[in-house]
Amino acid sequence: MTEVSSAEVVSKETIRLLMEGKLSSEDLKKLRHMPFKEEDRFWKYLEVLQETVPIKEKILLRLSDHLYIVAKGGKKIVKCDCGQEFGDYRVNWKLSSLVYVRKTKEEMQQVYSYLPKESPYPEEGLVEIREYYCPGCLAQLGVELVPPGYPSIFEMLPDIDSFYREWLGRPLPQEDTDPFGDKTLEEISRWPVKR
Amino acid sequence: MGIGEGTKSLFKMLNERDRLIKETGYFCGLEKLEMHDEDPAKMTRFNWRLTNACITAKESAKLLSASPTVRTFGECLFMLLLPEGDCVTASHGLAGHVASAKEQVAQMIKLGFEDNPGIKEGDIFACNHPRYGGTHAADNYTFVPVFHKGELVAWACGINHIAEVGCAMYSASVPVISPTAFTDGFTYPPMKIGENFQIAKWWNLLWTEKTRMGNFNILDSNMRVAGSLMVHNAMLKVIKEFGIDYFRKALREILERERRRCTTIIRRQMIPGIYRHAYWRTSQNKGRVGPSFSFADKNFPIHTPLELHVTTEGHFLLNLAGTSRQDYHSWNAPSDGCRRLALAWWWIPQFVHSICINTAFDYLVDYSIPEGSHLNPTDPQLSSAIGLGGMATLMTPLWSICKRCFFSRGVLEEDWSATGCGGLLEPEGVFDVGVPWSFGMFGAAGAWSTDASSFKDGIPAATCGFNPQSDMGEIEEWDLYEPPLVCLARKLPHDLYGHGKFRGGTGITWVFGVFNAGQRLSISFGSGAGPQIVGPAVGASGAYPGGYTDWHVVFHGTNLLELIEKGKGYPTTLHEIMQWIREGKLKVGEIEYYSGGMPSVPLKDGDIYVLASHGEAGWGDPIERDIGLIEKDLNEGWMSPGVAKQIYGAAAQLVGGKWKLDEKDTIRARQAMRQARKAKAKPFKEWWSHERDGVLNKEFRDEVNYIYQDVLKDQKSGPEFCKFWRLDDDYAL
Repeated sequence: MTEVSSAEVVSKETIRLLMEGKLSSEDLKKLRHMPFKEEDRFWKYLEVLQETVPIKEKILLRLSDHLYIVAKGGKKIVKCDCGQEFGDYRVNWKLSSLVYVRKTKEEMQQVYSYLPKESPYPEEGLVEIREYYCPGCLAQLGVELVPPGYPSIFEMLPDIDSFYREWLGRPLPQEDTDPFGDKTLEEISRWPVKR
Repeated sequence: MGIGEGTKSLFKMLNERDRLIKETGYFCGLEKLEMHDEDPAKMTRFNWRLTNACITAKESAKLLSASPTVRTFGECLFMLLLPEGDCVTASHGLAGHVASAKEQVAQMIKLGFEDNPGIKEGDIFACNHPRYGGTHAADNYTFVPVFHKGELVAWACGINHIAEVGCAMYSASVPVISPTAFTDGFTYPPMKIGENFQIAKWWNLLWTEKTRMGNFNILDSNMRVAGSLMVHNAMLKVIKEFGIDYFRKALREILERERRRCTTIIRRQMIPGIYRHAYWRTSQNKGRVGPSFSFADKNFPIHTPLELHVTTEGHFLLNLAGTSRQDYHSWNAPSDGCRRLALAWWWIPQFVHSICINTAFDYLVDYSIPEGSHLNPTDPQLSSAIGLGGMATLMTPLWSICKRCFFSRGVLEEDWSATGCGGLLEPEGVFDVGVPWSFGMFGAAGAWSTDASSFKDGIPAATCGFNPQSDMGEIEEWDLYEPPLVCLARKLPHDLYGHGKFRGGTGITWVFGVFNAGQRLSISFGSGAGPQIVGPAVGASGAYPGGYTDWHVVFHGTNLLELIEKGKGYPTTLHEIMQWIREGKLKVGEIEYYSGGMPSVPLKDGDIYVLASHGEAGWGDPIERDIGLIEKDLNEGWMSPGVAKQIYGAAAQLVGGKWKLDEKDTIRARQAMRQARKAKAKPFKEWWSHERDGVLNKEFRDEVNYIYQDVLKDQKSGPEFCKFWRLDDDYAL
């Protein structure tokens, strides 16, 4: 039940090496064997990110290789490390992306490389592969494997105000005024549609 | 007068346990861990005595089993349970079953077993029924009560996965086709199977009469009883040494300590919020069940949409609104035992890093599942032949969600995930001399590959989500139990993984040939994760999905035996087989393809069966993969040159027999791929508008229609679906 001192084991340099995949297997093992992760890991991680990622706004949370939740003008928005902005973090960022869908067996088999072309899988009409790209840098930000007609999946919506206030003990200076929740459908409700 | 502490009834103890955690938030109301605080060294010593008793029981008793599934693969577990059923600690092995053992004890208590048939010293109880906290007929549990001066102070419990369950449609332990509860095989509710520490004779007769592999199953039963008695006897010694008061209270303190430990890990590694994932598959019944089960003669899509709320209290609430209805397939999950076992498979590897594998975490998880869905069925006559499998589909999504959180918290070293695939190859037949045989081979289940992490490729053949101490075993030993089916090769081929900046762990291919099939031979493949799976192994951060889970190719009527006889060798991978066919070296007749679980397929001499398993998901955009890593992949045979070019944008050339990447040309190729993305993609709104037309016109295949019918009828998921596509409230399929 003893806790390994964070200062002894996990420095910012260690985190940087970990992110780059350059940490030695011995050191990686040490990290994995910690009974509990040190309390300040998140703060050190944010510092490393802020030093290495070309985003000038304050990074609040990393979502994926390229996407971050950042503080901008009193709001919390999703931003790509290329500078492209995706809007309110409570709206699925995919709504601001480019989409390409693999629908045919041939298109899907291109990425299921081992499947012989004679195989009936993946079955067209039963499944499709959606690729979401950043409009700025054209990085592939997300891939979905869903049946046709499946609403785009909002995989991760962090309750970031509660996280900072109640788990980290450092409330954000500007918390959302409305209750935490998914705003994606609200955003879509404003789009014009054919009737 | 009850048999519990202070002559309380077990029913009263069960209610008090639930009341105290609800009222205080602490297990059994233990706000202070007095025994830990007073003498931590004594507590540690005590704790290790308990855990060691379980481990010793497992490592000794498993040798009584004739089945390599138990002896080699380690598909068994021994546990110490509270009188109320909570698991305090367990051996290594089939760890998730701590959660279902707990539910079965609760069921015995609620059924009034204390009065009838009575629970007394020397009794032996057993259960495998999914409606009573069991998981599927293959997982058999044995319970031995531990008494001290007339008081029930604990239970010793053993469980293992048996070789064959006697299901009606065909021989298997994980039957992917079972249309009703009456075709599930030998299932039994909790029952007393012995007294005075002796197994009743009728119990062994039941195994002989009700299953195809009675002798194996009797030995497994003996193994479970022997191990449970070892735990029982060890506890009597522990009580003598530490005293009954210490024993009673310390068991409960261990559970509260572990609950707190898990809560701390959650707060250090997770993030409160809402997480979503989708998973679905199709049970391929059509043409498989015969006219007697005409009502079940169609394919059933099974959809499990997950919305997980991680609360600020550090609890996990799963909402499964829109889950597919109950139906005539094997995947109905009729009890908390089925459901909580599958969830334990998720939380044990992610959070329980302790000397005690137990059920403390169970109090941090709750779920809401629509009544009448396959995960909360109301029809007792439906099959639950793979009852645990319904909820087991959530393992992969839940691991993926943890992985996202760990990545966002900077705890990258813990971002482990895999796809729940790799089931059991289950051949059966009759030898030439007229002896019937059957067996379940766990080799593919014992060595999953892992998904890529955010900083490295996935690892091939390295893990097993449901059994942290598994081993894929010696192929020669598996061959021994399925003589006509000989494994010709087991390989890690190129390209069988999800592509990404870091690629998933390479999958495994197995090539089997049929020799001396006897009077009859057939094979099936029982997959815990699902039949014809299409939704798992989703890549992270822009990577592609994994290698389409388990899939199968059966080549009938080949000239394999002639090739071997003439010393011309044989192909060892699917790629080689296809190449040999193209070159005319290998002659084949009919070719069958299956994905996920495979129903029973008859085989003859010279047939070839190929299983491709795992091939896990990637991480990150493939065209960001390091050039050096691609060179290594090419030179070590993990990636084909075509894939390197098409997926990774690699400009590779053979130089002096070695693949070399041109950095400038690769950068140019990748830039062109980005521009191609721009050309072929649409802005989301434009795509959405076009797709909406298809939804309005209801242009769905029958299977997809079936999925959305259940989504639409749910009070939560229905309006969400309609709002996403801006449909009228009365939209229906």
